[in-house]
Amino acid sequence: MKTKLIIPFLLLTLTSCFKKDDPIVLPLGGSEINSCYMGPNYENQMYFDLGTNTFQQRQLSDWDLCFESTDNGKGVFINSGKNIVVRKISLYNLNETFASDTDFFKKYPEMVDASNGRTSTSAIGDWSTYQLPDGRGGTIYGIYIIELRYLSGADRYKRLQITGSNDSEFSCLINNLNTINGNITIIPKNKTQNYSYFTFKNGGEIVHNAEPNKESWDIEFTQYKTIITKNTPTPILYQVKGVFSNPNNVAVGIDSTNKFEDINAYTVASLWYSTDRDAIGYEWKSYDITKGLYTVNSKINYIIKDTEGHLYKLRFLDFYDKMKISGNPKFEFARIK
Amino acid sequence: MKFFKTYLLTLIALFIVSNATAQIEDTLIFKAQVITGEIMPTDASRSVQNVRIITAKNIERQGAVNLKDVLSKELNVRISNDNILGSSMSLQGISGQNVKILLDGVPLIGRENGNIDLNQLNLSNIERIEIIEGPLSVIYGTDALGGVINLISKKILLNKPSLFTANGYYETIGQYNIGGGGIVKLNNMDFAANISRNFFSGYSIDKSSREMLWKPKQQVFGNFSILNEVGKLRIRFKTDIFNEKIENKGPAVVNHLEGYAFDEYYITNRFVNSLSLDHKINNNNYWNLLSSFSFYQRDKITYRMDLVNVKPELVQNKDANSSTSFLNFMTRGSYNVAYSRKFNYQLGFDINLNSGFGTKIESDKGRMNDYAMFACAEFKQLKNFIIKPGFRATYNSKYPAPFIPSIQIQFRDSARKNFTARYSYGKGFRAPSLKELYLNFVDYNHNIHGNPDLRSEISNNHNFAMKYKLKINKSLFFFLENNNYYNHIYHQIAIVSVDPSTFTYTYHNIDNFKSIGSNFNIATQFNNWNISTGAAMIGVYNNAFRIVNKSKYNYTPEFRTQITYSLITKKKQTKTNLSLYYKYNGRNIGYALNETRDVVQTSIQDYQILDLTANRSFYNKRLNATIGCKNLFNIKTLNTSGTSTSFHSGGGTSTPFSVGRSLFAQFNITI
Repeated sequence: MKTKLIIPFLLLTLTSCFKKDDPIVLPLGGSEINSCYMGPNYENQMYFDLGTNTFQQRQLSDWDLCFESTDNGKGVFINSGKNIVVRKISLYNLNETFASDTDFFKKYPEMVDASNGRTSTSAIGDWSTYQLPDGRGGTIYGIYIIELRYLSGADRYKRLQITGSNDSEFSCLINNLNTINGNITIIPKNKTQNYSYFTFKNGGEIVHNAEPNKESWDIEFTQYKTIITKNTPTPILYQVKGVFSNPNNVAVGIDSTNKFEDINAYTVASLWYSTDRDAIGYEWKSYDITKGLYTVNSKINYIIKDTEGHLYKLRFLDFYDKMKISGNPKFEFARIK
Repeated sequence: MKFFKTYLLTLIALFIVSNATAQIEDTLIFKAQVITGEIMPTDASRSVQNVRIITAKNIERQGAVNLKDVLSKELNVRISNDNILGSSMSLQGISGQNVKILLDGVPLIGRENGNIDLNQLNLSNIERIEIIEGPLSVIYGTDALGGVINLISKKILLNKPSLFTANGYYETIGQYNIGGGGIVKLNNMDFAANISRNFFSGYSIDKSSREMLWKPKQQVFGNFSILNEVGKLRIRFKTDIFNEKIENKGPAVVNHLEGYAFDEYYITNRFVNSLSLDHKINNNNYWNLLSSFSFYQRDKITYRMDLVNVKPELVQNKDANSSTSFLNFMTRGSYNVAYSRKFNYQLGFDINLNSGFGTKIESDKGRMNDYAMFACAEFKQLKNFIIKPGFRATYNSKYPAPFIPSIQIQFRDSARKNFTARYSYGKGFRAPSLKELYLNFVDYNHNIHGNPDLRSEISNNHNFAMKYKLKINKSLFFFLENNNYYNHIYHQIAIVSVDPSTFTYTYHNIDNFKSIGSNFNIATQFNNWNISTGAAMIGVYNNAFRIVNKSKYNYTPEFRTQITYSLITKKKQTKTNLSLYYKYNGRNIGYALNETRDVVQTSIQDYQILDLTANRSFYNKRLNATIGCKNLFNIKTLNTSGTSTSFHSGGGTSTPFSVGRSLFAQFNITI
């Protein structure tokens, strides 16, 4: 009996240990692998060119507004990586006296840009046909209150009235809330970039090099705001870390069925491509808030038509570096056409 | 060093002052003794407070391994699970941070997110569990606001020179437990030692993935004790050790250049040393003193595992490797006097010196000393009534501690001895924890700061319970029980979002919590049957009722039944028991604010647990075996809705519940 009794003890002891990993064999492949660092507070905007496999770095904090610089472009966007909101107000004459307290406009809804980069869904929207709620109608250029939430005090609120645009420039009236008269600010359209950039710093100035030459990059790693509707009863505005595509001829398709290695020019022939700025976006990774952990989904393959018209496949591998510091997206890509 | 000296001097001084006594209690309805929160060890029926007892026999029949297994089938208790932080509970709707868990009277330290992981409390060496709902803050101080759970370990004074035990447990979900121990009598002293190891191999839905949904875990439990009786003085020294290792393997990152993963290990150590002295000077004077030193440490270690060469490399990043430790010195003494047949009293003190340090606690701030005096009395002047008032006065080095009064009244029909009614009012409190005061957890994904200005949470609890023994005939009895409670917690500490965009959080005394409930139990024993069944309704206050226009309380129903059928041999010995354990937990509804400050309804689906077991003893009770099936309904996850964290994951909205249906086999050998 004694020997029989020992058997279950032996089984319980010997069969129970932490499982060790078996060594893996790396797959064959000739694709490129690169990564970048978005900074400890995700303040870096990393512009990447697929053709040359190079990054160019800019700082997110350098600018507040950007103005579309194509000939017919009228879009004005806010830097959604910064904490900025916009309100449209019913006053149309920027020279009218405002109440000294800053609460009168707070009844108007706060708005931010949708992350797709389209003018129609931006906070400022089509400023040139801004209809007044009092029914006066017509082509009246309304006033926007820009709230720079990263600032405190009187500098936090700015008044913006866009008074016109043509092939080469935008003209606007930009003031602090407590200032009545202002000069017209001219923002020339910088044709080497997708947008012309503006900061409220130093009383307001144009930022010349906030974006690299638009022919020299395809995708941009940045933080931005987006509206989350999945798995939530009410839409939530959230700050995410993701990828924007270059509005200059870049289009993105998604293939989650084929393996990265198997994707070629033929498998992507019938793919649908999006020119939305957030077509790649942030959903290639997920975040577990309780564990504070990012997990990258390497099964999502992005097919990118770049500024030169070449076709690339790209997938994300990691969001951490060797030291397990987050904000280090690593990705693999290869040209397929 | 000064810390130790202060502690030792206080201990010695109080030891000298202490003196002592006892009184023997008489008849019982339920033949079980209670020690938690009592002036004298008392029969459950005579205890002024309402006590639930779970015996070793019941634990064994359930095939229960840890405290979670047992509590998950009890009324008024709800368990929630986290794959890494373990299992936590709520009692009467009150979260586990307000429930004090004691091991032989010693408060357990090492709360993660306010909760003691119930999986870390092994039951293989436990004689019984006493559960007291409602505050026992007069005696046990902080955290004992929702209730107290006291695990009382086996202490056998031997009639024979030695006894050895061995036990094993296997469950088809990959659980392998093994343990053994013995007691030896030497020079009139009992030396006991036990060691056991529980191993869980992990579970994942996707078998090819190295990531596990339920993490592999190894737990080692050990204890050593010496028990000696010198005249009427009983001395017991005990050491409990616990070590846990949880493996959290990360997803593999593989491409043609490299293959690696980040693997995390969570290592927990708990060490409890205690010395208890019980001295019955004569029939009327009794004193006891319990001193303990507890240490708890939890480390997180991260490796970057090279999957090609299978070589781990330590990640040199302070956020990937963290450590938190807590130290507690506790001395609780009481002097108990049976002044007359109609008047008993108890005077006591309770000293707790706490310190905490680690990468997440602001340096040099993690100390909190708590000095308390308490007194209780039992008045039996009125026929059939026992009135027990009590109070606790505390000085705390960090925050103004509240004065805690309580009163308990018992009515018992002394002629027929078949009806007991109990009412109790108690004030309870929970001190802000060191973590809530001084946490400093900042990394790329967290920004949580403690708030040194926190006050303690204070509660009022009213409890009214009735027990009735209905005798049908000589061999058929029914025990009917009704229990009603109302809890109101003021200044409840909650984590508050300061800036959602940067994940900045801190703690504030903002919440107001109430719970109300009632439960009924009926138990009977006839022929070969032992049946206990009950239903409960737990109502948790809805803070948002005005906004969402719903009822003031969100009610959750519960239903429980336990049936044992015993096969009795010709010699009237029980050899085999067939048991059924069932519990239904209703849908749990709450309201919370989401990131846009809108009120949203949150809910966790209802679910049922059903276990079936068979238990049999062999070889003159030297071998005891239990086999059975757990979680027959195969509940793996619970659907949730409205939780503010759900959209981060992108996956479905569900919370893990268990690995699923399993078969188990357990055996105990005594030689």
